[in-house]
Amino acid sequence: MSKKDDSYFIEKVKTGNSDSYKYLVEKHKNMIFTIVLRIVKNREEAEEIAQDAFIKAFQSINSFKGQSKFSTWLYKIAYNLSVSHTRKKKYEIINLDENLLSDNIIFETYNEFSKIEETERNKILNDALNLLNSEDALIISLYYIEAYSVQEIEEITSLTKSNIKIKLYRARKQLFSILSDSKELIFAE
Amino acid sequence: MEDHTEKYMKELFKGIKSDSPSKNFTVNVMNKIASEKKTAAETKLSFFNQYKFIFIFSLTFISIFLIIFFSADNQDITIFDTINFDFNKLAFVEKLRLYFNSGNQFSSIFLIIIVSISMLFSIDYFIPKIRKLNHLTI
Repeated sequence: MSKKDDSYFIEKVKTGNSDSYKYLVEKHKNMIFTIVLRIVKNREEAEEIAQDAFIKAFQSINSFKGQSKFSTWLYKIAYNLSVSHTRKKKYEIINLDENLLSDNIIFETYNEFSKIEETERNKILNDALNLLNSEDALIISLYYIEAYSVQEIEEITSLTKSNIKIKLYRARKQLFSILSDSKELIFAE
Repeated sequence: MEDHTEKYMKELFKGIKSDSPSKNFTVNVMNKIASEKKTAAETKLSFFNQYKFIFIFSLTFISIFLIIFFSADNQDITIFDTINFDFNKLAFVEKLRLYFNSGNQFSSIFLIIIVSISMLFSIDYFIPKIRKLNHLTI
């Protein structure tokens, strides 16, 4: 398949060629699944909700006017579906204390984890993200994995820029706190 | 130090990929979309199916009424007399004599068309049932 951008396939879907939607699903499925997983924290439920998000986006694709990126519009649908799902289930939020971490501990943690092989680090970081508060985990994923700007995260989550920055600051500390706690277990093996 | 934490995070997340769903995720989404489209089409069709006989019977009734109305020998009856239910003037209904004036021709053709359509619908309705019965007996 040649390198065509999303708008080409969106136009095809709008004119009734639903097979073109397959390309959009294939391209965005990982990030949609990640967003949902960060919030619902259960793979089976995340898969169901991610599928529903794609179906909902397909049904309302005519309302997409291209004012934002297609991915931003799609992520917003997935985010809203996940949040309404968690409201129904009322997940327990674990509050982690990030203030106890000293600068030295953060440096040591970084130093040790940066030496780990990428595949292994990928697994450890994803596991650590799942221990964070849903919103913090999502913001970290969008900012560091998807390289989204604060402005784009604002469009998806409807949180204010200052709120996103505060959450990013807190989530960074909490993530290092989790990694620091798990360090002994991982490196003891 | 905050700048360092930010830098460390970027370094740690370098090359990190997002989680991936099951292998048949795309197939499942496309199947769900196909079945949603099918259900939507069936709902539209079932709405018509539900009301088609009422629609046909209403049109048949109207065409019969028109035939009777236009075939009246008493040509000075107006629609207002009919609505008034003047029994002397409505006596023509008992005679049911057909006069082939233009109005009567129009309503007869209209009736023939409606009956033809209803026959086609009936055939369409009964043939699958007959086939199903035959299949069961075989």
